[in-house]
Order: sequence, then C-alpha cells, then structure tokens
Amino acid sequence: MNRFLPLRFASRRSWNHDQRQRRAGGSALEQIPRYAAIIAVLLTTNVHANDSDQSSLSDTINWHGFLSQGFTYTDENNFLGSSSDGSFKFNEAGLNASWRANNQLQFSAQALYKQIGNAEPKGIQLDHAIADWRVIDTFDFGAGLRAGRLKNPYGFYNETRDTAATRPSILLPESIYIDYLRAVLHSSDSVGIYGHQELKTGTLSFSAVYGKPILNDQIISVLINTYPGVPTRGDIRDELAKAYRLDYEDASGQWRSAISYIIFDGNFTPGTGEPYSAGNIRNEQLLFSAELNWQDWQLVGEYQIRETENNGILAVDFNKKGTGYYVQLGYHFTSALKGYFRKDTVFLDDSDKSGKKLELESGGAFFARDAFAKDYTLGLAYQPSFEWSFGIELHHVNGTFWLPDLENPDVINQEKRWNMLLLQAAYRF
Amino acid sequence: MHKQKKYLLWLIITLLVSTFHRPGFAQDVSTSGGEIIIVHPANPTKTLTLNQARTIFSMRARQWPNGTPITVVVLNDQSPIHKAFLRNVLRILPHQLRRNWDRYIYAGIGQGPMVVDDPLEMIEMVEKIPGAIGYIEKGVPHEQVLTLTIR
Repeated sequence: MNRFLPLRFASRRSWNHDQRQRRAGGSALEQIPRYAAIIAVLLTTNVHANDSDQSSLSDTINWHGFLSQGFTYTDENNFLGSSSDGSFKFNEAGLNASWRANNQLQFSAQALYKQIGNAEPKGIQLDHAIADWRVIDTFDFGAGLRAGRLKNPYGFYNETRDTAATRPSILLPESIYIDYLRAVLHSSDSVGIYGHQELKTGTLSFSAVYGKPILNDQIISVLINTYPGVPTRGDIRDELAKAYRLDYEDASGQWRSAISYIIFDGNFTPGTGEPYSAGNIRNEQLLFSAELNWQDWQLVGEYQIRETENNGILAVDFNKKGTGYYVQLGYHFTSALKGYFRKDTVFLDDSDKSGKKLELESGGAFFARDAFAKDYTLGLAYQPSFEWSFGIELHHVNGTFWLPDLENPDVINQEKRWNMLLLQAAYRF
Repeated sequence: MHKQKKYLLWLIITLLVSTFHRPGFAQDVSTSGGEIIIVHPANPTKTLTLNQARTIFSMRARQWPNGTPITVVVLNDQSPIHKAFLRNVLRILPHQLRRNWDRYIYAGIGQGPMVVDDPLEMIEMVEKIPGAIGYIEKGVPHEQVLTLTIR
C-alpha cells in the first residue's frame, strides 16, 4: 500500500498517465537514453578526479559521480516498474563538485537523475547545493553552519541513499526508507548546524537541519490521502521539515549508533470545488540505529517509531502510530564479497498489526495486508574495486504496506505474499 | 517469545561458526615492516595522538593547528599498504573510513581524500602540498618528507 498515509487513491491518476505512455510504445529500455547525457559526462570526466597533480587542493574542484542500473523481477505484484515482465526502471546517475574556498568555507553541488518504477521521472534535479561554514575546527572539536539544499540527517543511510555503493543492500529497508516518500524526507532547502567532539573512545557528532522540503503535486495528493479519482490541485503551505541526529562512533570502528528525529509539518489548502477542507498534516519519526562489526561479521539494525496525523482535511481524520524495524546480518567471505540476510518489518498501526481493523473500518477500501509488510532478504554484494559494485538480492515479502499502487492499480488482486529478484550494477568515482 | 528465542539461537550459531572460520578479512593483509605517517617538510607538528590521526584521516579536521589546510593523501582502498596502514597504525576497520568519506563526498558535507596510485606518487604529493599527510611502508626512502609519530 506504500504510505504512511494511504497512497492508493492518489496513485490511480498516475496509472492512467502510465497507460498512455505505454500505448505510445514505451518500454523499459526506452528509459535508458534519458540519462545518457549524465553517462556521457561521467565517462568523459577524468575518473581519477582526485589524482590530479595540482599543487594545492584548496584551489581545485573535486569531482565525483555515480551511476547504477537495476533489474527487477517479481512473481506476483509489481515493484520498481512492471516487474512481472522484468523491469529496468530502477536507475540513478549523479555528478557532484565540491570546492574549498579556504579552511572555513566549502561549496558543493550535485545533479541527480533518478528513476524509481513507473513514477514519472523528473529529469535532472539539483540534489544538493551547500555552502558550509566551518566556524570552529580543532583536532578535538569542530562545528559549523550550512545553508542551501541539504540532505536530512536521518538514520545511517538517508543522506547517501541514491549512491548504490553506500547502501548496505540493493534496496534500502523499505520499512524506514520508503522510496515513494523520498521527496518528503530526503532533503530540504534549509539551514543547518553541525558539530563533532572527539572523545577518548570515539566520536560524538551532531547535525540539525531546519527547512522547507521539496514537494511536488504527486506527493501532495499522497500526503493528504485523496479520495478515489478525486486528485487535488490544492497546495501545502508553511511546510517545514526539521531533522536532528546524534551519532556516536567507536574510535576503532567496531560499532556505531545514532538517534534521529524528523518532523514534517504543513498546512493544506484545497483547490476550488474540491471535497477537501483546509487542514494540517504532521509526520513525526524517531529512529534508533546501531551497527556492530566483529571480525568478518556485520550486524546492523534500525528501529523507527512513526506518528502520522492528518487533521481536518478528509471527512474522517487519519491518525496512526506505527513502527518499522530491520536487522541485517552480513558476512564478508572476502574483502570484496559480502553475503547478507535481513528481516525488515513495518506496521501502519501498532494497535492493529494484523490489519483487520483497517479492513473493517475502511469498508473494504483497504485490505488487512495493507497494514504491514515483512520482508526477508538474502543478498550477495561484490565490490571488486572502489569504482564497481554488483549485487543480487532475493526478497520474500508478506504484506503490501509499501507496495506502490502505482505499479499495481488492480488493488483487489494485489498478492499478500510475493517474491522479488533484484540485480544491480553500479559505478562511481 | 518463541520466535525471539529462534532468532537468538541463529545468532549464537552464526557467531560460533565465525569463531572457527579462518582469520577475518581485516587480518589477511600482508605487512612487511610496518607503516609510517609522512607529512610535508614544513609541517611543525611532530607527534599526534592516535585519535588525532584518526580524526585527520577520517577528514573531520580540516586544518593543522597553525592554520594550514590538511590534505589527506591515500592509496586506493584495495591497496595492501593502505589496508595495513589502517590496521596497524590507525587501528580502524577500512570500511569505517570509507563510510565517512562517502557521506562527505555524496552528501556534499565534506570532501574525500586525494587518492594516488603508488607510494612514489604518495611521497611526491606529500612533498609538494603544504599541509599534506600520507603514509608509506618503513624502509622506503623518503628524505624529501618528514615523518610523524603517534604518541
């Protein structure tokens, strides 16, 4: 069902759009030329960006980039495109530059092309654009201010979620990093403060970001949970996202942990003649993260407490408290080859884990299986070099919580249990 | 409750299996005579604490106490000398450093290190760039640069 708030109704419009595209002869492969421009830039840029022999880094620009292509196949349901026929609609390409004007001042920016499933690709986006002023900088303590389009500090993976090589698996745990809500939580036009303190046994870091998330029409309909076939042309105003994270990392890298808190708040104003009222949307998440490294083993887990409020907009207010969590156990066969197993679980409503109440109270608009998702993942990741990584992943999923209706418009026939095979090749520099 | 017990059992089994397995990947790097930290010849800093060295190579600190910008020079992640340096001198796991660098590079909130192809280029860069810091294996001639000890 893919939402903190139900997404189903909003997605139906998009399905029609997708049908039109398909009738016009679209195919998975057709998407590839769309990011050919970025590939060209990546390949022609000096890939040893940092190896240049300038006499000083302070007057040079550092270039980095990444590119990945996934393939998805599902036995039941569709994910990341029309995957029951095999889908290539999971790819990302980015190019970034950073320049350190002096010890205190750094500027960086990143362009990103990303396609996730049948959601309409948005072309090349400005992913981040940051002015970073390091106010204090000693060996023991550092602190500074940032402004611009900043990634929200949230959990272990949010800030680098689009760079395949930084993810612990092909697909991030959907319980916590729901791909289809990326727009709300990923980044904001904002200001931030950050700092770190070196302690005897490790490093304590802090980051806070306060700003305006980058919303689009599709996300607004998702957030307010529109009625079937009645999309909104309304607007969200006074939207604010605040994100805070406190990290502790053991000095030897044996373990690390973090607490993150993110809150999104906005006021909805409907378009004229729409069956919606002005109201408030609020989404609050508290996340605990921990990672333990021991010999060739790695254990990672994150636990999320989520509260969603949607007041005054619909005939019946939509308020839910839910949780999401995963545990991933990884094993390095060699330094380049890693195997992993993960169990990822999410509940829409902690007081209704089976979803029976949801099915009953919604009068059949939702199914019990929409209230949860349990994802068992088995994967292999091969990283022969810094630049290249390849992955294969098998998922067995029970539940449709994060299954996008956009790819599965025949909601009645969505399967509760489904399996997925994912392949990915990625390059970066 | 029964379920939880099952997971705990699996965890214990995997941990047991791993203790009988060959030494970990972090250990299987060849070390010759150890590695040493080198800095630009004009650098007045003679010693660092282990944690200060970690802070520098993690790219958290941007300047030396005298205000010279720090330039971290490293060999690529796969290099046996790089792995040995992290293990023997910094005593940290390679992926910890990489993870921090990646966050700086791809979230735009810092910078990654300068990566060079071989120890000779390492020495050349450290000699050339004021504020540069790198590492080499003991025994490699390095008159052009200064060494720095961990206290």
